[in-house]
Amino acid sequence: MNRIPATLTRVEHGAGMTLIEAEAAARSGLPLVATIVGEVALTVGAAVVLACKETEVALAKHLSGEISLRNRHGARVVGLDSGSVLTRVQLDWHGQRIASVITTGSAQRLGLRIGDDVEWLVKANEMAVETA
Amino acid sequence: MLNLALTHTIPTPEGPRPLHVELALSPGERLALYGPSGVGKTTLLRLIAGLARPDQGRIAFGDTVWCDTGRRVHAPARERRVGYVFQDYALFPNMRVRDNLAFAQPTPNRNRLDELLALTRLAPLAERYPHQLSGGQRQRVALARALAQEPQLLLMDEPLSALDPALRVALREEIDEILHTVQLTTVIVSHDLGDVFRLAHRVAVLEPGKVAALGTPRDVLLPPTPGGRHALSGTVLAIEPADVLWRVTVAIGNDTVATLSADVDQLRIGAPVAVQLNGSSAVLQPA
Repeated sequence: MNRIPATLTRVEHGAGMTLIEAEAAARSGLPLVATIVGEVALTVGAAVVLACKETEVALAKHLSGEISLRNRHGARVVGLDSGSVLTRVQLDWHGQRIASVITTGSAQRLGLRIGDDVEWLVKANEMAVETA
Repeated sequence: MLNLALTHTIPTPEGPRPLHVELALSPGERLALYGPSGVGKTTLLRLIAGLARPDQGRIAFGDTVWCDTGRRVHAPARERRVGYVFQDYALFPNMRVRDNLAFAQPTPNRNRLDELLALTRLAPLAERYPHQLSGGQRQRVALARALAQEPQLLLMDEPLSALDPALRVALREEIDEILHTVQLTTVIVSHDLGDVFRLAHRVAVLEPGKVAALGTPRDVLLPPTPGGRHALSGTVLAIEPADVLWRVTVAIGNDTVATLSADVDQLRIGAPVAVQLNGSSAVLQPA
């Protein structure tokens, strides 16, 4: 599980949902975004940990055009562990370690090598909020 | 309508423990008593029914005081007009369905008996003996017999726990319809969330010694999950390598789920585990 320390910068309730934005301790400049089922009592400024499973983290290279995902952040490949079906990719994101598990076929298609610059992407509903 | 405030000693494996309960039910209200085994749910039903005396306290139904230990008042069970549905049916095995009901009537009334048989869909089975019935049918007889007493209060102790899951769901819906029809003030003991949400207007969550929470099932039993993930309690059955990850199989109740996990260092086969479910990603299909 990827766990990212962050500070809440926006909390919005509506339709039985909560939308939050948070600035990571890694200070990437772009917010992390999560949607939660239920109107939960969170306050701006609170310290939280955002969590996402490695298998929910997608990777991209040279991504262009618009995309709905707002958790889209540049990082560097620092580790590769390839199996016959799955590959675990370790990323350095402003000093924060992020892991992604993608298919080995996708890793080969992207031509992933250690030192490559990539983007990691997570849908907001796959990002959970844990209180710090 | 039903008001009680009492303290009673509950025997537990750790020794006697006092249970303090204050509850008030409105006319026609259905209240579920929910909590772990041994916390005193059935004992509370027995105290209300008059089958046991509280150590201390008062139980009143409307203007009638059923029990007041301070004034040494204790109305016997037969005077309380309480219908009691037991977990194990407790039918008379030597009586046909119709006779089981007739025996419970305060005064013989064949028309009312036929009404109850129709209400509980037992008319085609009226001449059968209990051993000729399925578990669900027997529990319908138990409910019909409790209603035949013309009670002012209905008590149901785990009425569905002896049934298999499919039958349980079907009978739960039937009981809900019957209770909706009769509009009786009802107290239901259950440790099953499906029973509580389907059958009860409010739920009292019992913990050792006290009522820990009281309110609608939604307010009491569906607390917000701060992280957007819901945790199910499971037991680890198997941890197997799956390429660069691990395939972990977990039992949740009588079902099993398998998931891929990168972090298994703290998981042990046979040990409890929390299975977190993302609220927006769960896929639901009628079973």
